[in-house]
Amino acid sequence: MPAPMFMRGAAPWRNTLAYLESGKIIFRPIVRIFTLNYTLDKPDSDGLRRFIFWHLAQIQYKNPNVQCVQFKNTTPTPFVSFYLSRSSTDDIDNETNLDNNYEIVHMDCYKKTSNEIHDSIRRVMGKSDLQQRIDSELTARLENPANFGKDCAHYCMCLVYGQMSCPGRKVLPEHLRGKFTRYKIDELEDIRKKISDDDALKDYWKRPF
Amino acid sequence: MAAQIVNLPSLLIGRVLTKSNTTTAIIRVLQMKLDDKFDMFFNQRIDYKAFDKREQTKVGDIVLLKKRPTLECRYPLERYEISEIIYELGRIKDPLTGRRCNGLRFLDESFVANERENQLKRLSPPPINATPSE
Repeated sequence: MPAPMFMRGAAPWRNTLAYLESGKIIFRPIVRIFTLNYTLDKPDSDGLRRFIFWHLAQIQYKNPNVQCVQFKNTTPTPFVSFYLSRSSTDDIDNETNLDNNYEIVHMDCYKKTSNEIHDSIRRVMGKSDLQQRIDSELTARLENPANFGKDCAHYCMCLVYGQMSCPGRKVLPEHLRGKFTRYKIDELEDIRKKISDDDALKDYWKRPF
Repeated sequence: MAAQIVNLPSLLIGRVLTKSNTTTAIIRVLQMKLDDKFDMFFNQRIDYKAFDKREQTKVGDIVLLKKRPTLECRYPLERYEISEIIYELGRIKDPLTGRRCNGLRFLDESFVANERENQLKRLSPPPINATPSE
């Protein structure tokens, strides 16, 4: 296996998770499709080509539900267009789903540099910084796998692979139970003569319940 | 090649692949999927069947799909309908300026006329000869 196989190609740090995570454009939930029209050779669309080279992967990474389509050599002028629609992607049989009208917003990119394109897209269609912070705070509890409880990924830590099971379902070994370590210390010593603590733990893991 | 996407998006752009009858079309849609190892995006082709449509689309058009509300769909065929033709095959209209274009150039009136004249000169034989020639 060739070892440094992944850092190949032009500007390979574009393909690192750290770079993809640091994308700044997160589209507002209205945006559904992001279309890029450009030509491959003409110097007019040079800015758009650079924008695609650097930033398209970031955009697609941060917005997995937006379809990014590239049309190459279709029209002589480069432009970018957004297809907006208010209906959500969930299967809701509500009246709001019938309001399925979409709008198209075009943005001209003729002889613009990639930074200008990036900034104007971010200002027009991207979530503002404040909104991004609000969203990240709302989902922080959910995203962090170390959190458990009400709004988190798992309700109880017993659901995670490798953690102890719920003591309501599977009785803990005696040396880990407060009943024995605080009150019934004599019985604990008796038990420890028969089985050591480590063996009791191993028995605990082997038991199905 | 089943549609493995959990939430079907409500708007999609795709290209018409085949038309089995005048009302059903199979549309190929490209979505970019992140490859885990390379952290690069590759186009994944998904074919959707779109049902009710105006019978104007040809094979090769680029088309906007709209999702129909789930109440009316009985088969996976009917989930999407074709709502608008974005780029018609051979008659691409630049949406910014409204002029027809052919890839890298606009099809303005004079240009098209010149092209037609050149084609006619090349194809038609000199009219005097009686023998059939190319």
